[in-house]
Amino acid sequence: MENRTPFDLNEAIRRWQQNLGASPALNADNVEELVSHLRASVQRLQADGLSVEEAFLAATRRLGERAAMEREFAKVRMSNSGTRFTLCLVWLAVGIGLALSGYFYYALSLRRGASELLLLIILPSLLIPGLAAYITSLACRLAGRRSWHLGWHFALSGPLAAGGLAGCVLWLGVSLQSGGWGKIDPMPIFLWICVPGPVFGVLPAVLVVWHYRKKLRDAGQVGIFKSTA
Amino acid sequence: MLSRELVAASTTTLVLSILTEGEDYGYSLIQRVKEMSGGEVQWSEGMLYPVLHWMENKELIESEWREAESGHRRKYYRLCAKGRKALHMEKEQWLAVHKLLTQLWKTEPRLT
Repeated sequence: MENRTPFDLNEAIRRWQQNLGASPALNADNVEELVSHLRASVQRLQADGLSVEEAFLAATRRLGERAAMEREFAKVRMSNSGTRFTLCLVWLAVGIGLALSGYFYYALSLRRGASELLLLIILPSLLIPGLAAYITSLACRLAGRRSWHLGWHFALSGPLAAGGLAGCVLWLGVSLQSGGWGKIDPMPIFLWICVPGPVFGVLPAVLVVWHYRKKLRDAGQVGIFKSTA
Repeated sequence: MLSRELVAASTTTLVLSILTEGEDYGYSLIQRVKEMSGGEVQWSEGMLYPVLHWMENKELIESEWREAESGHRRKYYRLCAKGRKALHMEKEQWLAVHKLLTQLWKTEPRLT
């Protein structure tokens, strides 16, 4: 005869809570509220005649698919203006930092004898922080309304790519001013390619778009509400 | 059962309307809507909470954790002044749509 351990509701809820708590989209408050809902649902189903184990399984099923739930919680978090503002500030700082590192390289080049006409090349790169902020705000809007994964990754990649681009423009300008195509110093471009620029900016963005393209396409189908179709 | 789009469009109004009767918690809101609509309106249970949090972010409602009869903590939601104003506007819009459809379909308005 099969010797089965009796079902422990509190232990089952604790495991469910632990599993849900591992999601970055849900904070402790969200998880506690869902646990509270689960307990109420189990109680009701038991009153309707289900065993405690059946009630637990039915209640967790009724709460819905975890991935869809995480997506909706993340959307709400991203729609919070405080979160958006913090994210914009952080990545604006990253964009400014990258642009400043380009200016630093420019200043060093001037000391080595490069022409001040380089300012004509430098000035457009002053737009970099603004570009970074714009990309970030677009990313946040995308994150709030479409795929939050994609939005977050864009938010990370945008300013880095913008900074990397600024660095490449500066390097090219400095090198050409210093002595034309024949005397291009390979070290700065190596640093810009390997450290902040396209590798950490553009490439991840392309990979993420490629990976999440289906999710983005399906985003319109992922609603908060049950489909009656 | 109502279409997904119509359920989505009416969720905020339904939550605000129920909360005019007093504070309530998530599970109870779901049950009340289901029972009052005779099963016509069914929210996907776990998905109501992000909507409630969104409404809280917009300061339409506010929440408070309290101990329930069972001894466990439960989060109660209640209407804010901004929520009352929003509901007033929503009500006018829904009634305008209702009036128009009633005229177009030449049906008598049903109050029950």
